[in-house]
Amino acid sequence: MFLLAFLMTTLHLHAQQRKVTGRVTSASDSGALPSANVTLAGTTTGVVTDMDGNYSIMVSGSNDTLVISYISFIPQKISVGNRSNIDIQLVEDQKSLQEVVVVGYGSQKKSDMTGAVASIGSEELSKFVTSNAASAIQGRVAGVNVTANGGGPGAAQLVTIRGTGTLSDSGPLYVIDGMLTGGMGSLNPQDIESISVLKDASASAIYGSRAANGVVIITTKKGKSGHLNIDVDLSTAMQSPTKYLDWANARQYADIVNRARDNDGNPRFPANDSEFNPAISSDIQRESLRNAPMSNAGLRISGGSEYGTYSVSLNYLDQKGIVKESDFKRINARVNSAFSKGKFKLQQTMGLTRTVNNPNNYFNRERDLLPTIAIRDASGNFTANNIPAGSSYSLAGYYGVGNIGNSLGLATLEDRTVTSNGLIGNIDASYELVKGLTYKLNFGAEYSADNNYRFTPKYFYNGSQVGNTPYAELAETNSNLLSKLIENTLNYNRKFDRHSLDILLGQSSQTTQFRSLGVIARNFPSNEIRVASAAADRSQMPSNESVTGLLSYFGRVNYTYDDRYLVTATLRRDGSSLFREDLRWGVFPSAALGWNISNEPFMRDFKGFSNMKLRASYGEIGSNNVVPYAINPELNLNSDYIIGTDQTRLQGYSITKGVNPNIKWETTRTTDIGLEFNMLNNKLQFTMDYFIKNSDDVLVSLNLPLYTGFGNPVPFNSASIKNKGFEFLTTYYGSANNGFTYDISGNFSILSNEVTALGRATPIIGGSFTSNGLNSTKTDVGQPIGSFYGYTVDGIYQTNDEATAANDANSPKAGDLKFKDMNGDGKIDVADQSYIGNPTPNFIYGLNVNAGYKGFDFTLFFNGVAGNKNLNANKYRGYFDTEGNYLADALNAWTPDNTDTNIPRNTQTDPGFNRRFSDFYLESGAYFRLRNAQIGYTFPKNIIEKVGMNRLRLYLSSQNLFTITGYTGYYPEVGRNTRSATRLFSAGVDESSYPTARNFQIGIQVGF
Amino acid sequence: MKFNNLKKVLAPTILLVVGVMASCNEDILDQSNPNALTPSTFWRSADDANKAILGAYSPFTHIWNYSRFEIFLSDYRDDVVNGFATSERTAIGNFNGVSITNGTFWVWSTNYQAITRANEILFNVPNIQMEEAAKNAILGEARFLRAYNYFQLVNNWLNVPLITLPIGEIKDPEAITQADPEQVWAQIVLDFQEAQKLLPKTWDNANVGRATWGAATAYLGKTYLYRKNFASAKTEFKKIMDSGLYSLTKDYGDNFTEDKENNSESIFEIQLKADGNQGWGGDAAGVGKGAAFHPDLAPAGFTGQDGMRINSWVLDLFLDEKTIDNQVDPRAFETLFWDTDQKTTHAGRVLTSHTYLNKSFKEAYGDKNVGRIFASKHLDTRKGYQASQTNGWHQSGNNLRLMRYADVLLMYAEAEMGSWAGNVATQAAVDAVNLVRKRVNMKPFDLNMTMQDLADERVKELTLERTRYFDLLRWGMVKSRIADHPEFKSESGGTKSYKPGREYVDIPQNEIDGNPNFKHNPGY
Repeated sequence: MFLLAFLMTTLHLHAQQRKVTGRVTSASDSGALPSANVTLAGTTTGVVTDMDGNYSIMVSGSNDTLVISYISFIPQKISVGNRSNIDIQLVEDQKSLQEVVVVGYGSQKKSDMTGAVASIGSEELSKFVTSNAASAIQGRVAGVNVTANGGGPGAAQLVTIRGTGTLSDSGPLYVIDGMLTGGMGSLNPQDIESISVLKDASASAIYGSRAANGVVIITTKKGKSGHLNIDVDLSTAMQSPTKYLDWANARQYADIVNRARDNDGNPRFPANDSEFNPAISSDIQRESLRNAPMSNAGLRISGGSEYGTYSVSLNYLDQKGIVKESDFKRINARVNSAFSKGKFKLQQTMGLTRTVNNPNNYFNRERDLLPTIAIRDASGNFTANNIPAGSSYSLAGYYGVGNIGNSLGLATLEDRTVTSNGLIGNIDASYELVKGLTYKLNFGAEYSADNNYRFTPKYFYNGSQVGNTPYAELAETNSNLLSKLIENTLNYNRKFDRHSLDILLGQSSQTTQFRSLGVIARNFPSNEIRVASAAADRSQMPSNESVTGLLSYFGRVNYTYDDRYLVTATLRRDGSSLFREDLRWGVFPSAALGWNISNEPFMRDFKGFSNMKLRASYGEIGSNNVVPYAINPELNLNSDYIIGTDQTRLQGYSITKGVNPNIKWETTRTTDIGLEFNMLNNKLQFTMDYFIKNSDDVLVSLNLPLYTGFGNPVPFNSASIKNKGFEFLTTYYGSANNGFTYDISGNFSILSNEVTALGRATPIIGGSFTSNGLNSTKTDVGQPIGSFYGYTVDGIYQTNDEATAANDANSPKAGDLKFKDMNGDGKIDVADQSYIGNPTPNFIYGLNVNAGYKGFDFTLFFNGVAGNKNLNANKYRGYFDTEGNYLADALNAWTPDNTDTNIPRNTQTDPGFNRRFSDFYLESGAYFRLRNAQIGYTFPKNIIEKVGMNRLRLYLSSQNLFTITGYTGYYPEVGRNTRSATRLFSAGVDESSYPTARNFQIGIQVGF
Repeated sequence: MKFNNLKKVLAPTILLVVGVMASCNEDILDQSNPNALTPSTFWRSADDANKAILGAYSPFTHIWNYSRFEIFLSDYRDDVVNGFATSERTAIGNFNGVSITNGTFWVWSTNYQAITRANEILFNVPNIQMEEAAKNAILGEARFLRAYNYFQLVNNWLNVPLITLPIGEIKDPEAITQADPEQVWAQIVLDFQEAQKLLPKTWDNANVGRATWGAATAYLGKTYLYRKNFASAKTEFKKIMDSGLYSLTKDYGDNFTEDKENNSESIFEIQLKADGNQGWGGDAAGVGKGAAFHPDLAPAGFTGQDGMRINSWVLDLFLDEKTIDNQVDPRAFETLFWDTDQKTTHAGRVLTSHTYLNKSFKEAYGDKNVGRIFASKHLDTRKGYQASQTNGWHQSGNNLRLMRYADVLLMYAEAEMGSWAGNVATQAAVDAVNLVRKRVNMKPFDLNMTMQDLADERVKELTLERTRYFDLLRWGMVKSRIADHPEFKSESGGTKSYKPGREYVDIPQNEIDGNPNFKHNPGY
């Protein structure tokens, strides 16, 4: 023993050893990395860092190289040289193969996964401030299409995973810290630790009857053991409109209408002719848009000890809209904590959210006010009438437009607020019963109390229907939702030799209660009194209650042999209160195989590729797109009639609801084949998936004949939809010797969507884009959902003879649009309509570039879509609709002297029916944009530590700095318009949806 | 040590037991609807029967029917009304009542709502234990409502399905076929006959407005008249005339003002009330059942709707003759609004041509709208209504009289004369018409009265009372009086869309989509 020690000392001395000390920290937050390995390259000599990340190691000379490694960080090699103090910053390895991905009811090493799961970390999510966390997924995950429903503050995000497999508006299932819910909009993006998107059935079938539209699992940030961290994040942004539409000014408007009236052989309207007032030319569009600020403040306190961790955060977002009279505020508070002692663990999450949304619902009517009418009268009040005093003209007689409103005036007058107070959280307790076997009990809860309030004061702009209200009206609804979840799971996780086994058994029950009470009240004593009890007429009290229950049993087996062969099988059995007793239970199985090819002996010498894995999965998942009580016949209690000399409205009953008691789940069968591999020593990584998703028994509403007395569409499980696609993700991690590191990540997905059956249902007509009943989309067998269906324009008739010869069912003349005779029958009628475009992009992509140099960090995030068409309804309003302003371009209409144009002649009677739905309205909806550009600087630690900070980062960023698109509406990302009950069939229909803003943001992040 | 072990076992056991027990309760899967009654618990009491019959009347006042849209299938189609603008409201009047137009299916849907509700009543109420008289009345009302709505259907759509059982009792409701119109007419006659037997002569004050023996009898007579069964028609109308239950009001205008609703002349009227009920809807709480057709009748400048004007031949017809005191027919002032200073004294009131706010044509328009004629009937300026939309779109509480004693007298006369085919005036016919003319101080007719005189009298007496188009239809004059006169529809699309068969509206597309047996009507 003594000898041995002596020898070692001798050797030691012999090698002229000296001591090198230093500190290992994380590059991202400069936090100490305790227990990191520091070894001498090529030797077995090594030490680990202490709690503060400090190390001390003996080296033998300046040629030695230190290798510093830490789990889930990229290892670094550093040549010692002459230095005796070497501080090392390790960069987190985002795509580390040891990365653990959150999956349903657990987590899995990425290398063990057999399903198609994409995950996004907090780093990506917190890059920009947004009023809806779902927008942070956009462009990040192949196969996931996120479309903002317009650019308004707090706008909904439409999330579609691997194409639409339903004919309803339902979206993915969201699982927030183990609580199952319907959305993630209430979360503060800064609170999110990770998002996992379960794309194939192997991953999602564990959620059974609600998984068919995909599952999004969100895990919020927990505290870490170590000392107290205080993080402050402050930012402010200025948002501005990116585009204005070129509406006609007063002179142009008058010229357009005069020409139309002349063409029609009708007299000109006084306001545009004899009484034209050159002093007035209003532009309510520009008056309605503005530059608007947005600011965000966040505070997070976290830390923990051996037995417990905690994280408390607060966040406040205040966003004004670029359309006046619209703004959004959100306050979040979150408390997450965890305790453990021995085999017992207790974890708790709780998020509180309050959102206050004041939307401007009138923006898309901004052409209601003619440019020949001032926005405000002489005393500064809003108006919609400039007929000179004492004139005997009626509004329609003077202006030629029956309904003239003032959208900005109305938005200003009207008081409308949607307030939502919500809580979502869970408590789970687990206990390791025997080694490897853990029992867990999870209670989840979601509660929300919402108030939807609108008060329209009595006002008078003019006598037309939209120009006044004869009385003030209040519409207010309070609603409460409580969803309770109880889950029991048993998890067994053991490794025997080369066999690794992970078994999950579970059982859960969820009930959701909803209750609402509303009032519509009219006739208030004053515009300032705004509670229902003060109204003379409390005419309606819409109210509703529903309770739904879901009971489930589920299990999963993951088996791995030798890290080479992976097998996953899941099964869930769901029982739902939405369906009839004998149709209530559904079974949803899935199975998947994985093959880690790189772990095969024969691949050992093959260096070109690493971590190559092939996986295949098949499964059946469901979708329960049914409103509560859809199967229950009911008596309508509101079929009243007036009886008696006193004329009393007496309650009568009737049966108005047709039901189909045989409805059940929609079932989706998904097949997925995936390949993953890395190259260049894992610097270049690829993931690709091909999938086929067949949805059957899709609920489609059938309109029963009206002679049944039923007016409601009745659902039947009779449609089928097929989605197939290819998803591709690649990432390259690079660095240069001078400390410059970067990564580039790109993804795209190709999708095709087709309705393969409708059963007895007739094609679904939708996509109304005017108040005059013109529709634009048709959903039929063999076509994508909501395809645009209409006429094809083939130029303009240059002569009356040509127009007559076309044999159109209408009466076109020279200058009218010429429509193609698609079926060649020598006449132009409804049979000449065809499918002329798809509103859903078939190609979506994202490109993310991150770089770091010294303290600087850079981000460029691009995303885009292609292959889709938008219906630009401004063309309807701007060229054809007589009830408002025209686009200035309507002046460029066809005339005998201006024949080289694609704008048909000006007419208000439109005998050629130019305004019928055709590709005249369609434009490419493709775009490519710089979604986010950011540059940040993190101050060196040694400087800021002197002022008591451990992190200080400043950043500048811009969202939507540029967008490349050929679309001529406000913005190519249009969402769905709201005319139809099912908005799915109105995708891509743009009636001036709220414009998306460009913003410039400055922010500061401080850590203590 | 022992205690510690116990703790170790107990804690997870309690956790597990509590957790599993709390979450395995299958009761959560049985949820009954807390928002509405289920039909299975209905049809037990007299109150249920009463609620059901009120529910069957309800579609009358739905916005899709008499509280608004029906006018576009009746008066807006005739040779009197010239509706402004091409729209779904004027489409049917332009012979464009194609299968996808709203007007095509809205009224149809309310007619069948009433019919299906009547069918439920006729099927279920006989089994309810209740007082016999009350039960008979309700069954009679159900018969009346079913017949009335089939009468509307067969006159508007001709080829309609005939359903007399609850939908739930029909094996495959989507295999029903369109019935032979003769069968529908036969059912109408049968139902009105049954209603006539079951319905009371009068109702107490609390129930005024419900169908009566008189209503069933008058419509039975009208049905016979439409079927050219003049003898039976005459018999039924005579029953009304001999009943002593009805008389003409002294003031013609009493039939169009809110203060004189359900008067001595009224045989059946739609009950309307201005109680804030407005908007679109039907069987919904507080909406869709307020009268809303007044803006469609109101003169230009007094409505937010497109509105309409009256074709000039109507005024010419009125002005062709004078009262005994050499004044304008008082009915002209009640019916029309035109540019005149003339006055007529009638029933103690001085009548002038005016509209809302008591404005004369000159006061309303100055030098505009020269020569135009607008409507005045139903606007009820006498009650003091100041515009068609003063308190919103559905402001009027003025009941819509659908069957007046005056109409019975004129129809009786027509039956006496054998309509156009007979065209021979009898003393009974002349006497009946003269009762109507005498009220408004017009010279009595003698035996020289022709069918044309009677047809003109119907225009003067009943214009804008939802009957003119159907008179022309049953007389076979839709083409000659409307389609051949594009000037009568010059403010909208003219009449060039007319084709033989388009006297009727097309079958709603919804029915054709939902039932493969259904066919479009001829001409579409």
